[in-house]
Amino acid sequence: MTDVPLTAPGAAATATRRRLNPTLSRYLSAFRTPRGVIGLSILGIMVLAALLAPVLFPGGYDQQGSNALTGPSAQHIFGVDEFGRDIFIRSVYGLRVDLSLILTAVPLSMAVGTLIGLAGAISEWLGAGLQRVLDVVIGFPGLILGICLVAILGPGWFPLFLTILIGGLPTAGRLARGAWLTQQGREYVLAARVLGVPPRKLLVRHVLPNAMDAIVVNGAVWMVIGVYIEAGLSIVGLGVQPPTPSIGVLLNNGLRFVTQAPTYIIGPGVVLLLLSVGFSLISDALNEAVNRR
Amino acid sequence: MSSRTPAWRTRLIAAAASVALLTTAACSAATDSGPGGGKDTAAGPVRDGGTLTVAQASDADPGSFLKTSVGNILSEYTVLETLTLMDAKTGKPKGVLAKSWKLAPDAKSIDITLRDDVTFHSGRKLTARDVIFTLKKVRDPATGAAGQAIAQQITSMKAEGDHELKLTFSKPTPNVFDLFETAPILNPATYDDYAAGKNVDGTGRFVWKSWTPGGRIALTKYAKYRDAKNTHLDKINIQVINDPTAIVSAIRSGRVQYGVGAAALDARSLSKQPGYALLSSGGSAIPFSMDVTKAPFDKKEVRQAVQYAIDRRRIVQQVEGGHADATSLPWKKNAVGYDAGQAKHYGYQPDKAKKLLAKAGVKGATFKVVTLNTPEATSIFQIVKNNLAAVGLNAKPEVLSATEYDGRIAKRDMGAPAVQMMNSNALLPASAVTSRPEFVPNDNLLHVKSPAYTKLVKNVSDASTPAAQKKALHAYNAYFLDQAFAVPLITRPTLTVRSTSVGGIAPTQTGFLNLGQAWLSEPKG
Repeated sequence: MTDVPLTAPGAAATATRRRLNPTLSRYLSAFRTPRGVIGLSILGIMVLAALLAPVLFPGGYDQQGSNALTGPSAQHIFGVDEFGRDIFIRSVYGLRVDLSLILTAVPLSMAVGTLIGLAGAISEWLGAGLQRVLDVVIGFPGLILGICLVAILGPGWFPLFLTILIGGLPTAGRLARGAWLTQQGREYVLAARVLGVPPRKLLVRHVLPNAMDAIVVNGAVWMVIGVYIEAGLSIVGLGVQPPTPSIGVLLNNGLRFVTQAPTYIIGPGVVLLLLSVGFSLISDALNEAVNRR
Repeated sequence: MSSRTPAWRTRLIAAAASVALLTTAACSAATDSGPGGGKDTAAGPVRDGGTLTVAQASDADPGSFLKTSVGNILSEYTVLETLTLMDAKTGKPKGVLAKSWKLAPDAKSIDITLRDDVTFHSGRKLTARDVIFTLKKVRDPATGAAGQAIAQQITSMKAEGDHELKLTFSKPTPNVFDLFETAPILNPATYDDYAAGKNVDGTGRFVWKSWTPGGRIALTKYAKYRDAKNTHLDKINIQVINDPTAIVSAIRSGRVQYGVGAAALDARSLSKQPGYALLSSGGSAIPFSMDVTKAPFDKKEVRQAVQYAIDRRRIVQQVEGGHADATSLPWKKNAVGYDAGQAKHYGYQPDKAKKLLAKAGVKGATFKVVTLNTPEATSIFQIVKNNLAAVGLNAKPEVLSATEYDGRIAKRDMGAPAVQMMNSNALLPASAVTSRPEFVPNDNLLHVKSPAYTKLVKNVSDASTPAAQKKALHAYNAYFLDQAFAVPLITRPTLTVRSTSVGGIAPTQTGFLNLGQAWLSEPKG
């Protein structure tokens, strides 16, 4: 007599995966929707281009020439800037700055914000106090916060990083605190407490998973906002300093020549648009996935 | 699902619409800046009457007329007058309040005869005592006057009657006209009220009527001016608009007819459109300066290599739009002894730069370069950085605000090589070498110090005849170019834009603007 499996082998494997890591599986399902696929494709191409920029364009982003402000051509698809540099190459290198900012500052911001939000589990006084600090941070719009930080630290990559990091703290902190406040009155939490489950384990095993969905979606939304913070601060000359390119720096330069070379801003503008659309689609897809259960 | 699909589509449509908008805006801008863009620099016909409205970025500073404060750029020479003004074309002085003068052959004294038909706006006649009062204020270090260094060479000031005076100097002072240029004559009776913007009593074509701090300066025609028939306007309103972009917008919209303080690039762009024209005034030398005590720039060959490595013509074309000169000398071309051959000393020779670096044993050095946080300065830096990289030097930017930059100059330590901005080249060489921080032999910004240099500076400042001035300046230039501590990258005028409906704006040698004989071709107000 042989054992007959009750389900097909593939289905069993999927079931096992779901059982082992249902949260991750749910997030991954976002990338099987059209929005997720397109968003991931756009960002994938951009990340690849940014990573491979030194291989694709070994001459670097500062190869100057005597031609200036010529429009798009077969050789230079975005045209050349005021110093004869290829705007497409500079846009690709600029992506490195934007992506390095967003992909480091936003996850860190979400992590720190979540910890701040959950501080109430350690001490109610500490939790409430930190929330008031976050209230103060909310009072500063991203651009104003950035201008203050640049005034203190000088322009460059690090003030932009701090602006995105600090700017993202309040929402992540509030979402985490909301989850904590909601969950702490639940019977399973009370039962765990009665059973002597330590607060750290309670947070990690029970409260955090309940806050995770909102924080992940919020993180994706903040990546879109991060793109605009970089562009906004760089457009007013407070971002990374030339000749290092970023998308915002390129737009800043392009705007100065908008009457002489109107095509200058189109290339970097499209890249900025694609970057924000990519992150927007992923945040939408994640939102849809977490709400599907 | 159905409720989500429209959001997805909406996002894509919005993206497409944004691209379309960008394209449309670009095409529209392209049409605006087409070849029909005006090259017209002429103003309309001279007409009497009307109110001219102009804008400046800084607020008035009526307590600082002797400092050539930028807040007084439009009002100072319109309300007040100097003894003489330099003729921009010839570089020689022209009388304003002074009817005539006689500089002694050794340039150690000057006799001045004042016009006898000059009255202050209060009605009081101008006398030699008013000139002496003004020159004493210039000498006073507390005033911080632009002409202080020259005025301190005055050993006696003697009025001979109401309209004649004699000045004597401790040493030859052929550059006394630089002192006169920057010393508008003040009324001793009301001088203490000037700082508050009250009783600002001058002898110019326009009367200081009122000042709203941070807002507006109102000037009205001085009807009893000695040559009132050539004053065309009835009133001048000077608006303070702090934002450079807003100044351009105000000119474009017709709210003001002229403005100073806008970025040169914006001024150039607007001037290409019909109905607007550029106005050049003053001038600056922009050197690449290096501290001669800091390695690797303590080696002369390295400094020379840097100067040979930089493509000045690209800076002229790509940063200044052609409105500049690629030169190695910091003087105006009309300066006595200006040598066009010496001005071409540092052409673009990257191979020579490499050889000099090899000779100095410097390879792959990395250093910071100080630059101001203005588009012009950072643009120049980008070309410099690129050029230096081509000869194996790695320059990193250290971007400073104007306050930080001024602080380093005041401390006499730039901290690093610098693309040095804000250097007026309006002064005669004799004045510049004794007052500009990068040239002075004592307490030099770049720590240039040697008996030979001190002697060369003294020769330039003391030379009293054109032949001596020419010889002294040539010798100074030879040393200056050989040592290569502050060789200019370019010299360029200050560019502003005006509506072609206004004419007669007269720039002074120092870049101030006299509106006294301006006119509106279509008078309003």
